Amino acid sequence: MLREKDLDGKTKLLTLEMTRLDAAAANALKARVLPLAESGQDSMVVDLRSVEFIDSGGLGILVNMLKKMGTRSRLVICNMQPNVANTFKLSRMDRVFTIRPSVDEAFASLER
Amino acid sequence: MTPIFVAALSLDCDLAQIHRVGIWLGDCCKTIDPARLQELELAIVEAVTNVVKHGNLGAEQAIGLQLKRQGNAIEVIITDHGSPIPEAALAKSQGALDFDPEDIANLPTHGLGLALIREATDSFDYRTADGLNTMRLTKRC
Repeated sequence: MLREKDLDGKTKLLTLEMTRLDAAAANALKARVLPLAESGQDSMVVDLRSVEFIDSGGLGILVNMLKKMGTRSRLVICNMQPNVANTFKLSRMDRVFTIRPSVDEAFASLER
Repeated sequence: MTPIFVAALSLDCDLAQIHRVGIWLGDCCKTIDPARLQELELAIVEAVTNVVKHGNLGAEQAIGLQLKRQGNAIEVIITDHGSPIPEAALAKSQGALDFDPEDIANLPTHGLGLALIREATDSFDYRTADGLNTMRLTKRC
């Protein structure tokens, strides 16, 4: 469901290994990712490469992560498939999140 | 005149069943633009999820889906015998996407589903009569 990797000691890469990020997946995923968002990590990159479908339940988890991380840290999303990118656009969440095409570009966008 | 294609699906009141919507829709609409079809799938998934989560249906009560397609004009009718969507939630969904993207603390985490249904379809109608809730969605794909 979720693979974690430390990128540089300050940034964690979370790869969501699911094809559907929906209400059915939301509860189990929420229990994994929200504690990470609250853990004081400087930055997180969320890799959605496997996700083919996202609904409001999935978007809600990402928004909750952003809220938990607050202004002290940064969250970047990458590797969105076209259908997923379209749902971000329909929901206006493309204006909320920093979105990059790849993990490398997401990581580069975090360099201070 | 293009013939009307009609199909139906019955879903158990279970979040784990909802992925069947996409498979069913794909089978019904093989020649439709996949991007437009995915938007319709999103709308239906949001509607069915809403019934499963808030409809207070018993395990034996199914959610009915009917699809009518004439060319690229698709109508989907979703019916259930659960608790109806409150008027206030329907009204609130009209402005749910008018949030300030900079105001992280006040971003919506709930109530986006109905707003997405409106956004992803061409028309949305919801009514309750004699204990039956009927949501009617149309989309020209």
